[in-house]
Amino acid sequence: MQQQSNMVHLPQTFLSYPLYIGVEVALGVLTFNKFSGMYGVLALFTGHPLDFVQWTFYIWSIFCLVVFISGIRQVYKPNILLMSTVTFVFSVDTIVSCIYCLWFTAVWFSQEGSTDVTDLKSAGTALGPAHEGTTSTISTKVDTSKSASSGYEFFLIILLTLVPLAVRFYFNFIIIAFQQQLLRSGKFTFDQNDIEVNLHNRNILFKWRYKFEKWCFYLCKRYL
Amino acid sequence: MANWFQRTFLANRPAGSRLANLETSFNPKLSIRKLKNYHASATDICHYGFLGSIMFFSFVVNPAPWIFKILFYSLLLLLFVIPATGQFFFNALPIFAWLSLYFTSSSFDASYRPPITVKVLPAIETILYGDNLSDILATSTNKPLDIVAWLPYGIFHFGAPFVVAAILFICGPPTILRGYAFAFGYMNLFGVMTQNLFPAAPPWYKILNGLSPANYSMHGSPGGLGRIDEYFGINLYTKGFTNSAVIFGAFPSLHSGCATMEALFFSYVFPKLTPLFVFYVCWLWWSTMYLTHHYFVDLMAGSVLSYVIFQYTKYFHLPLTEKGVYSRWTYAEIPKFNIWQTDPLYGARSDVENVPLSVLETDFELNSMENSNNSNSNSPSIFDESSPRSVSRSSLTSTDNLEQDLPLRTSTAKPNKQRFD
Repeated sequence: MQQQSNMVHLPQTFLSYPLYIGVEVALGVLTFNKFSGMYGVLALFTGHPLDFVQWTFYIWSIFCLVVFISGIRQVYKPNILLMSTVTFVFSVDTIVSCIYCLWFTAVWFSQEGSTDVTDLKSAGTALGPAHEGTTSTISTKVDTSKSASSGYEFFLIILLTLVPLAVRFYFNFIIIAFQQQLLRSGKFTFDQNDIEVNLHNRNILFKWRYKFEKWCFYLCKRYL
Repeated sequence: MANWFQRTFLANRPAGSRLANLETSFNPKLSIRKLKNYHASATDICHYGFLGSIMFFSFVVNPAPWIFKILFYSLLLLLFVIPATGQFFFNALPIFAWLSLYFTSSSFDASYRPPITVKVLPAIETILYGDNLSDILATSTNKPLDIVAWLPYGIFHFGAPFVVAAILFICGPPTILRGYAFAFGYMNLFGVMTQNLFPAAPPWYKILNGLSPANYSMHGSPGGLGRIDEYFGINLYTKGFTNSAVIFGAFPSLHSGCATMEALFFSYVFPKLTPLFVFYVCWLWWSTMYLTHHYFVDLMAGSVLSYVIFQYTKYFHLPLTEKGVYSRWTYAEIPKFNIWQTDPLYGARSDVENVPLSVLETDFELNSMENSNNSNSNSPSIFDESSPRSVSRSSLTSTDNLEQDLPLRTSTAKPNKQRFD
C-alpha cells in the first residue's frame, strides 16, 4: 500500500478561504521578490562589484522566478507535474533563502562595524553600508531628537527580517498542503506511460525539464 | 468617429440591456431616498467608518483656513449626493481619503512623529536581497539612461491612473471602475499611513549624508531627477521634491504600488498583453532605483501591498471578465467570482469518480499479472479444477474476478517501483 503521510498537520484552508487563493498570493509575492535577481545581474553592465555568493544568489533568484511564473499561471487549472516542481523549488528556496539571509546578515553587521572610509563618489560599496565614515561630520550640528536610536534601528532590522521569513514559512506550508490535496484528490493524475510525451524528438532542455518534473512528482508523492 | 465607436463598442450590445447605462439624473432626492432604504452590512460599516474617520481627521488637522476646508467638504458632499456625479465620486471615496491624508501629512508636528530610521532599509535590503540594488543600478549614469528612467517615474506615473481608469471604464465589464477606485485608493491610503508611521530615509539620503541621523527640518532631494531639471533648464522636480509632503516616506514605494495596481487591472481585462504590463512595472522599478528614490525593499512592499489588495478586490468586488470581450456595452450580466467553485479541488472529494488515490492501489505494474505466477498461479492450467484460487479463462475478464484479484496483485506489486518508458 502507499505509504501514509506523516504531514497531517498542514493547514487545510488559507485564512478560512480555499488553499488555491493562498497559493496564488504566495507565488505572486515570491515572484515579485525574485525579480531582484534580474536587477542584481544588471551589475554586469553597471560595473558594480559583486562577490561570488551574490552572483549565485541572483542566478538562483532568476531560476526561481521562471519556475514561479509558470506556476502562477496554472493555479486555477493545475498540472500535477508542474505544481510538484513548484512545491519542490519553493521548499528548497525557503531553506536556501534562510542560509543566504544568515550570510548577508553577517556581512552587513561585520561591515557596519568597520571604520573603512569608502569612496564618496560611488553610489555604494559592493556590500554593506556605503558611507560609514561620514557619520560624525553632520550629527554634531543637527538636531537628532527625531532620529532613530541605534537600538530602535536594530530592533526594526531584526523585526523586518524575521517577519518576511515567518510569512514565507507559512506560505510554504500552504503550498505543500495544496500539493498534498492535489495528489490525494483523484482529479489530477499523471500518466507515466503517456505516449503523447515523446521525448525523442524534443530538445535537451525539454527532456531535462520533464525528467526533473517527474522526479519532483515522485518525491512529492513519496512524502505527502 | 461616432461610426467607429458604434462598430467597435456598441455592435454586440444585447438588445434591451441597461447594464452599461449611467445615471443621468441631477436630482439629489433620488440619492436621499436610496440612503433611507439602505441597510449597512458589517463590512460596509467598517469601510465607511474607517474612511470617514480618515476624512474627519484630515478635516480637523489640515492647516488650511476653516472656510476653505468647509467649502471643499461641502462641494464633495454635493458631488456625492447628485446621482450623475455621485456614481463616480462616491465610489472614489478611498481615493479622496488617501488624498486628504497625503496633503495633510506635511503639516504634522515633528514632536508627534515617530523617529526617522536611516539604516533599516539598506540593512534589510542587504539581508534579503544580497546588496543594495539601487546602488548597483545607480553606479553608472548617463544622459540617455536618465531620460529613459525619467519617463515612467516623472511622467507616466502621474498620468497613468487616469488613462487606466478611462480604458477600464470603456473596455472592462460594468462596475470594474469602482473596484479599481477601491483597490487603488486603499493601496495608497495604507501606503501613506505606513510612510507616516515608519519614516525611513530614501537612497539619495545615504548618498548625500551617509548613514548619519536625520531630522524633520531637512529638505527632500530630487535624487536623479535633479539631472532632468538640469537638462531642460527647469526647476520642477527639485522644487517639488524639496518640499515634498512625505520626505522620509521611502517605505513603501507608492510609485511601485500604483504601477503594479495598474498592471494587475490591465492584465485582468487584457490577459494577452500581460507581458507588456510586467515590462512596464520592471521598467518603473528600475527607474526608481536608478534615480535613487527607493530601495528595492520599498518597491517590494508597494507591489506586495498592491497585489494583496488586488487579490482581495478580485475575489470580493470585481465583476468577472468575458474572454475576448473588450467593451462594457457587450456584457449582458455581471457575474462575480465564486471562490468555492473556482477552486481546482472543488468537488474533488464528493465526486464518485474522484475517489482519493490513497484508497485505490495506483502503483502496480502493468504486467504484474504475469509476474504473479510464481507462487499462486491464477492463469488457467490443467489443474484448474483442483486449485481453489484458480479461475477459468472465460471468467478472467469478469468484474467479480477482478475484485478477487485485487489483494493478490497488491501483495505482489513492488512498492514505489515505477516504470519509466
